[in-house]
Parts: sequence; C-alpha cells; structure tokens
Amino acid sequence: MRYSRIARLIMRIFLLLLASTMSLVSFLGGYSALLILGDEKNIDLNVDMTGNMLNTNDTTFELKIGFKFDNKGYFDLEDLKIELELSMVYEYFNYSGDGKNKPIGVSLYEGKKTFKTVENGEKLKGSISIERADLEITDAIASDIYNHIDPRKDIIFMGDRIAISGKYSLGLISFNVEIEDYEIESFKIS
Amino acid sequence: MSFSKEKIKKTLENAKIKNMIRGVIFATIYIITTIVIPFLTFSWVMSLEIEGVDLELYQDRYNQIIFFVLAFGLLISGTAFFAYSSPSQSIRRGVFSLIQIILNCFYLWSYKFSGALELELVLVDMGVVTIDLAQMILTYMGIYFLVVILKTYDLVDFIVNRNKIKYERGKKR
Repeated sequence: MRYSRIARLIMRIFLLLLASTMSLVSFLGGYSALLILGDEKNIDLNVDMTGNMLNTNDTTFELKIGFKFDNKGYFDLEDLKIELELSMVYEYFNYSGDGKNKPIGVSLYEGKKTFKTVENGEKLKGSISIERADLEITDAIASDIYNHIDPRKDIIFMGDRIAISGKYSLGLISFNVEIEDYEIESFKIS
Repeated sequence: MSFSKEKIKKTLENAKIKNMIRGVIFATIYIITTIVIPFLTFSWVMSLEIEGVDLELYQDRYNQIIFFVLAFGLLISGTAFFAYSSPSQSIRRGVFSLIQIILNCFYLWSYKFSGALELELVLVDMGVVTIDLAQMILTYMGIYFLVVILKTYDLVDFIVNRNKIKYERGKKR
C-alpha cells in the first residue's frame, strides 16, 4: 500500500469517528426528547398562593410558581432560563353603577431566573417566589382593587408571557418555548 | 491461453456484479439515512403532544422541508450508487464521491433554506416552540468540509497515479 493511502486511511477513520459521534449525538438527542416529552410526569408546573395579595397589611403573602423537570434524556440540560410576565384578571364590582361587573387585567410581575445545569438522570425542582416587594402593583392600587373586587369571583393569574429556554445535546441544540396568554391558576380572595 | 482468457472474463464479470451489489447496498443506506429517517422524524414532530397539548409544524413549512429532504436525498442516493458501484480507486469513483459529498453539504444547507434549521412548532392555543439546530448543522458542515478536502485529494491521486493503480489492480487479478 502506498504511503499516501495509509495517511488518507487514518484521516478517513478519524472523519468516520467524528461523523459517527455526531450521528450518535443527534440520534440520542432526538431519543432523549422522546423520553422526556413522552411522559407527562417529567414536566410539571404548579402555582401556590399564601396570604392575601391585595391586603397591604398582610405580610404572609407569597406567590410560588413551582416546577419539576425530570431529565430522563442522555445529555445535560444547560443554560436553563425561565422568563415570566404575570398578570391577574379580577372582576371589578358594579363598575359603572349599573350592577354589572367588569373584568380588569393588571400587570403583576416581570422577571427571569436561571438555573444550574440539570445533569442527565437528575431531577430539577425549582420555584420562583414572588413576594409583595416583587409585585409591580403599588400598595395604593392593591388597596383600590381590594375595595372594589367582587369577592364571589375568582382572581385569575395569567402568564402573559412564559419563556423557557435552554441547550441540549452538548449545547448543539437550543430550544425556546414561548407561551402567551396562558391561564395559570385561579384563586378566591381570602 | 483460452482457459486464462475465460478466467479473466469470469473474474471481471464477478467484479462487476460485486460492484453493482455494493452500489445498491450503499444507495439503500443513503435512502434510509437521508430520506426515510428525516421523513419519519418530521412526521413524528407533526403529531407530537406535550402535557396534553398538541404540537404542530406549519403544513407549508413541513411540505417545504420534505421537498428538500426528498430532492437532495434522491440525488445523494443516486450518486452513492454510482460512486460505490465504481471500481476501487477509479477516477469514476473519485468524481462521484466528490459530487456526493458536495451534494451532502447542499443537503445540510437545504435545512437552512427549507426552514428546518430553526424549527418552529406551534403549541396549539398556547404559543410557539423554537428548536435551533444551527450549531449541530455547522459542526456537520465542518466535518463535511474535511471530507471534501480528502475526496479532492483522492481524485487527484487517482488521476496522477492512474497507471500505477491499474498495474496494481491487474497484479491482483
């Protein structure tokens, strides 16, 4: 065999290894998506509220948005970031004095949180806690809502924009989930 | 003398059949990897469901992606047949291998202009999921660029050392 052929054979083996590795990474990335998205238990989102958000004297108020992610795939989930824009919709009691309520939307919170890398096989249990100081509504607006809200009706928490982004498959695949106008949870004001 | 001629004829015929079979096998492999697997993947994505929410790929985007996958996939598979059914170290193989790898680059690049590079999926009544495959495709392109260099070198070698290769091939027979 000629020397040039030997050199090319080595190069060919090297390229074959590279291409095979890439194919394997692509395949396992797709298969991981199937494993994670195939089971509803792997992703969970819930909202919990304690205290009265509209009572400015209530110091126990906390809105907790918890989520669970089970990385059942083959790669680590990197640069996970969640951006939230929350609002609430309430019923303004007897708005025009004709006995009819009017639904009013108020912007509540805008923020983002980044998380550490979720290694493969690991579970991420994270939460975003929103306290009174984090809210966009002032005490005066909160008091005004408290005085005019129809207590029989629910307050609806809306995700005006929920953006989840991250990287998978050794950082080769990036994803971004954008959810708009999503009804997260509804509560009765206590 | 006639016995020797017969033997050479038979050897050449066997080699031709072997080459044809090799060509068909490789063309089939390329049909599976460049057409069937991508087609099944995108069809799976079309009917995906997350947390009970349907995930949809825009129909026109899907048609566009499938068109490019099918067009380049067929071209690659066709050239793979001609490349692998050609005798080893022949100029024909060198030319077809080079064409095939360049087509592979176009195939990867077609993911960009067909819209598959930044795949946008609709979460029905909720929002949008965007999957960015640019990094992965660029890495593949890097590997293919090295392969293009190698195949060009192969072709030059097959042309320059044509007589030597023919002599070695004849010696084997």
